[in-house]
Amino acid sequence: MRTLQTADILCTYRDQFSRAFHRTAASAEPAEQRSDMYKGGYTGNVLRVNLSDKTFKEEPLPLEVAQDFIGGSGFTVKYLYDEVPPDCDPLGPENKLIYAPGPFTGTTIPCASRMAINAKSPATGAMGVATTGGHFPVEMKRAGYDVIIIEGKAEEPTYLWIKNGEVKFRSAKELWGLTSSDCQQVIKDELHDQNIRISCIGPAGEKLSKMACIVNERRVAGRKGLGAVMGSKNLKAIALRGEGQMAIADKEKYDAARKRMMAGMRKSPILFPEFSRYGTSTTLDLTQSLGIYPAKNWTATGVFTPADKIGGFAIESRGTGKMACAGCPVGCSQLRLAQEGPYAGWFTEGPEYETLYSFGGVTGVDNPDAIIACDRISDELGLDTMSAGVTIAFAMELFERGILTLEDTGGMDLHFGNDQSMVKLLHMMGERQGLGDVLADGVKAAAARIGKGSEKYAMHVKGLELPAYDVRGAKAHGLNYATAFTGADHNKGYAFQEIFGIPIPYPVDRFAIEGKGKLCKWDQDARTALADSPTMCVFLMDMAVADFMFENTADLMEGATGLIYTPEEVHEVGDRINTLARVFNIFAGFTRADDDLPERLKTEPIPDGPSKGQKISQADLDFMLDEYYDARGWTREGVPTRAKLEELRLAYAADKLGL
Amino acid sequence: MKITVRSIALIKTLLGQGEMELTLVDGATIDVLLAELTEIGGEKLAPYVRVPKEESAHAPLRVMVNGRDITALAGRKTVLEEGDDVLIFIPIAGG
Repeated sequence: MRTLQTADILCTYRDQFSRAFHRTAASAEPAEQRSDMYKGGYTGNVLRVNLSDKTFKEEPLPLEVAQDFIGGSGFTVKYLYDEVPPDCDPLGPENKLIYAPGPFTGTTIPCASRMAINAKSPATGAMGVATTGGHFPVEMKRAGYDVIIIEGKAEEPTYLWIKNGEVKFRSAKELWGLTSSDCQQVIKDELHDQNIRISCIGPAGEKLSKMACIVNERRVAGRKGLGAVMGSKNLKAIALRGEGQMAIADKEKYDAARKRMMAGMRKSPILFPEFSRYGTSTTLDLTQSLGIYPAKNWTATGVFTPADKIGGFAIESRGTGKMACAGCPVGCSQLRLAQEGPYAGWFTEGPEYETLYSFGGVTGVDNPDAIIACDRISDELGLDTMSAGVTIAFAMELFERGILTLEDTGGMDLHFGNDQSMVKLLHMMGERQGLGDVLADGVKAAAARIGKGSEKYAMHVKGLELPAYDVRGAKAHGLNYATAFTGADHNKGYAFQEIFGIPIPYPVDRFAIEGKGKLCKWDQDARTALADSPTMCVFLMDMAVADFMFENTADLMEGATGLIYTPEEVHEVGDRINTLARVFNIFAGFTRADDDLPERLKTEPIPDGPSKGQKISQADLDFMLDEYYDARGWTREGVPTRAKLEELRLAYAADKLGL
Repeated sequence: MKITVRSIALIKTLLGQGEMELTLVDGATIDVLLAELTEIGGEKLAPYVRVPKEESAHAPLRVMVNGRDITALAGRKTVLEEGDDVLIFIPIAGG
């Protein structure tokens, strides 16, 4: 393996290049001292904030961390592994909240305003990386930071105001209880600056809902309950403002790599105008055509087929415009306005495909205006739309089976398809009222409280509710649900080969189990290394640079940062990150037995449609798991070997495991 | 023989309908079907049906027969049979 010679790089940087990051305003410490290790892409700064004693300090970002983990998700996994006890209470002060955009963020690389947020997840107890876009990631880089680490717990509701190298701890007593958009507006008004970017929680995060998310603008770092971690720290929001500009290490190489990427975007048969016009919503039309659009808590896939009412083309009539993240020429995020019935007038940025599932197919609802309303209500309350909808679907099945009664629901009819009950129950979950309190922590926790055999109908992996692909008809996608270190997380290892038929690295049969262990590893490592870490919108990976995805990242890294990778080494960064997260999870108590799927997926075949008869039996899952562990260089118990850890420059993890 | 062709998104727009029944000669392959569809979709559909010149590039058009991608079958040489359900689309992105 080719490795960077750190000493050489340091010498080269200091002697020949100007500072990587140029601040235009005064800061607490001269930027030159902090950033002379990096000639581009990185600010070189880690901001550490302690809420308990209201202190903050800046630390240099170690070069070996940059090279081995790239940024974004990689940085958050590395810092969480190093600093957070795996057995800690996720809602206790020992847990940390870690923000990290990537080295592409803040440059002119398109679609790179992305960042990862990580903490030990209260929903799963595992690492809880979530990613988001919008404008906050770029602003964080402009404010001067590659990483922000939030520690401890504030005595009373607090928000952070970060500008010019200063962190102010401001009272959030007046903000407590506000919805996400109100919170952001009040902070902007209070600080007399409408261009501030804010990452905050809604009431659900304050009430420690394990499906609470973190909201910036109308974008969300969802799933895994990171909003509850923020709430547990009495932290309502982080507001920041920056004026810095990112330097570029090698402009000639950078321009060439960027030009190639832009050409890929222009040549894409789908990015413009299709994806730009519809966003992710038309995926519903596709998954229904493939027979893998889950319905009615996964009992009616292929039977309940509402694309003609809530599919991407059907809801085009609700469109009022679109939004783009900073530096994105695509603008996939659609603005939609509900038009009919009791929901007329509700406006939202979305709903994305996953939400068209969670408040659509899986709840048996085919009213687009109800889905639009639920999308907005979730964002305002700070609830994850996916977990919320799947949890409501779980309650609906329990109601239909008589496990929940009218007495339990407060007289509310919870049959599948009742959109008015869905909206009402969503409010109750956000405010933890009545049955909403039982459901506010997701299906696993709810099943534990309800009992009566309800766990059988709880559709989750490791406590994270299932996403919008019936993986009985897409096996590698299903293996990713079972093995992703965050739980059932489609974005950790999306098998685009099975869903979209893209034959990279090779064509596959979505119904086959052979070869899916290797493919799942390939996908997980690719997504982690190419999208979640540099950071770049994952949609470009599929739609614009699929033919040269690893070269694209390697070339952009060399141009932007000066750090040199082969395409294979880029892919290996993903392996390193996923493996280190696995070690954290092992210490948090996870074993092979947790790499599982809900019983329904293993025993009940898809009832109808183009994937009729498909399931993933326990034997199928075991076969794929063995292959997956072998491909990763882990034991058949799912534990990384010392040889593999040393190969990935993670010998310290082998030592910790006692190998 | 008769087969059903379903399409979504852009391809549906270009074909003017999301589902149609076609009659093809016995033993017809996907290549034959695509030629037939190009007659219906015209010049606007042709660029999406064409095999890319660059070896490294993958064809944008995805074709599935009875739920299975043809890349996992015999590609465009896949032989169709009476009653087959063919789904045609351009890859879109997830949620």
